[in-house]
Amino acid sequence: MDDELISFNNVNKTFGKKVILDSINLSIPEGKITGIIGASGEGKTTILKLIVDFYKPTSGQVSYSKRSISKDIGNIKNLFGFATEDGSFHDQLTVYENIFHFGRLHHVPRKELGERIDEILKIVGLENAKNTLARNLSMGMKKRLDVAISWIHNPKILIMDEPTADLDPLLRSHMLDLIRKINRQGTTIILTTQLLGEMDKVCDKIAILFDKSIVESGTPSEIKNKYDSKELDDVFNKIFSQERKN
Amino acid sequence: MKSLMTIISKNIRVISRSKLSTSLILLAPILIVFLVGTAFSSDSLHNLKLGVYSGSYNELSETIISDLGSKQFVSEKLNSEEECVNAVKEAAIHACVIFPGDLSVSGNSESIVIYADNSRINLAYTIINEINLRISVKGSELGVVMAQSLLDAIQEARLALPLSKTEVDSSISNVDNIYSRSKGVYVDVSSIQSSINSSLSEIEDTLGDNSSSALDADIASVRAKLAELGDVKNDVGVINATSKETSEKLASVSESLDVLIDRIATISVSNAQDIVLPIKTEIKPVTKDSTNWKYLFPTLVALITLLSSMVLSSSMVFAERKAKSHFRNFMTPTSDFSFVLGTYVTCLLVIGLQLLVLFSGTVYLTSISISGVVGQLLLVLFLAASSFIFIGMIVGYIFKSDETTVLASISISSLLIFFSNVILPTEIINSSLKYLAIYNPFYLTDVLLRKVILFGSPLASLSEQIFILVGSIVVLFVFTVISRKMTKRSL
Repeated sequence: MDDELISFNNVNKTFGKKVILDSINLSIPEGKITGIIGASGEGKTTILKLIVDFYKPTSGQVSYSKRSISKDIGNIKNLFGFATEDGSFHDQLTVYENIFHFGRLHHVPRKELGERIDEILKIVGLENAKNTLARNLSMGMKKRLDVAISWIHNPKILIMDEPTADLDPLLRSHMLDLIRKINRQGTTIILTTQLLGEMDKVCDKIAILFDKSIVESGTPSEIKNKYDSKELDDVFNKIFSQERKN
Repeated sequence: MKSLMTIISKNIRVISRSKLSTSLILLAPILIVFLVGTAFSSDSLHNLKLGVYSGSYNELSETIISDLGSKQFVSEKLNSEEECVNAVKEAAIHACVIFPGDLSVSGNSESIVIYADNSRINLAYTIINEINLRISVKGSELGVVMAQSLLDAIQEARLALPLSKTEVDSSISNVDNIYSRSKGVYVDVSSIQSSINSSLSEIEDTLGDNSSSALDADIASVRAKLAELGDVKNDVGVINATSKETSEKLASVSESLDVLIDRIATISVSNAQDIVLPIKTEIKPVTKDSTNWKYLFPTLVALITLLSSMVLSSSMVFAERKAKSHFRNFMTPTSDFSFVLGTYVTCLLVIGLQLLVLFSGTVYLTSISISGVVGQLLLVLFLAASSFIFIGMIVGYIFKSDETTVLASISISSLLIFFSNVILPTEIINSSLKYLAIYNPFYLTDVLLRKVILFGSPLASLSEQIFILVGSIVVLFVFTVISRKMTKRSL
């Protein structure tokens, strides 16, 4: 069994009276790429934000190394990097300034920062845009900038919310390569997507979120075998049909 | 500390990237100094329109109207009292003065009535005072003329009365002489009567029966003359009594004259002005320069500090919360304290720059000097800006939309301005709400800036207000950090 890094134990999350997540049980292994699949509005982003304690669970517990994240977040915050779906940076700053700014806020020493930024910009393919204002970047570049910022402090866990959304096929392919590259450096990656084919390609573990709960989790091949399908799309369709009958 | 510097440098970089913001920060204070300084550079009111009405104008009312018109008032005669009052309501004129038809120096049955728009509180009393002053001056002029004629009459009496007194005393002496002489005549006549009567009786006794009819007739004739002498005696008696009474009355007049002379002698006032205005008042400004601009400047600085700080800090916090970077800020291991302090210091630097431009412009363009009070001024402005920035930050953290944030900033600023001396004096605030003014940072700022800029007060005399401001800053800072903690998870 893989080393469990993050776990959800019977986690419920409601906003007001609206139930978003219901009895979520999930284990995220260290050093792997874990994908959370679900339709739009199923609560994938909520799961990611529960991991970093941006949202507090209504009930249940989210743990990091068996310790409650809520109680320990002050000490472990710097272990996380979070690339958001829409990009989370300052539009009025350049690519370089954005990465530098958040690098400093993540306590990356000033001496190392310049070198680290150049290295990351090369990896994410933004070395030629380092002096461009963030608001002038294309959608794909913004996604890559967000990944670069999330990764600047070399986090142990990189969370990526819909990293391939709104990207053309070529950029999607580049993004998936980038995810693999980052993972190869020992970073645990948790990502969400609606594009199931991509999950098959990059994820070591998959969790399928349906109707507010995790209905399946395991390696892509385990899940496909269980549902006797060659593609994850088929698995999802079968789960969707089965749940509707129930 | 490293995070703090990072946040501040990012904030300044973001602000400086907006050309509009930078121009506004630098040019707005200069523009304000130029416009307000030029507009309020005099020390009096201008072009005040005055409506006047009287049922019957006379020389006195015309003189007063003409006198008012020659000062800063432009007077216009209206056709009725109602028209005059309506003109005030419609703001066509600033005040309306109604003169009674029988206005005269010898007193009139009705008063001069002044109608003013009290809803313009700061102007109404100024106008009323000006009109009252002009009418009082005219009244005083007339009073002086009347008082002078009184003084002249008194002076004449002062000279004439002693002469009259001498004459009265001389008359008393004469009358007394008449009294004593008439008394002597009376006694003599009585004696003569008695003596003749006695002689006649002796003659009659001697003659006895030898008396002849002719002799009896002579004796009877003598007796008739004696009876007439009795009438003379009675007349002398009356003269005697009358002269005594006259002497007593003249003595009384003489005493009254003595009192009157003594009273007039004690009147030391010889100047008519002293009777009309026995107590002289003189209003002297406590500051050397008396232009409206100088009086206005401390309040203008307080207002700019308040509005700039409130709007800048609230919009900066709100923009940070609503920016895409908000979630990223949450993800960094930077404390709430650092974020609050970062925003605060950035706002302080921007406001500081604005005030630097404002004061530089003021010193360069106007006669106001702050060279002797730079230390106190910096301290007061630092404390004032700090308190307003924290209030603005709390607003930015609490409210959830751009509109409500701006609205709340304006509302709170308005409230702070209302509970100060800027619009209405705090002395008219209900006593139960007066503490709102006492602890109002804007009120304290206004008071402190007036003390420092207008009177050059030393630091020691500012300690009470400074102590309250420091206390409010501590409380506001704690509330700001709490607001940040409570809202940092909401988008």
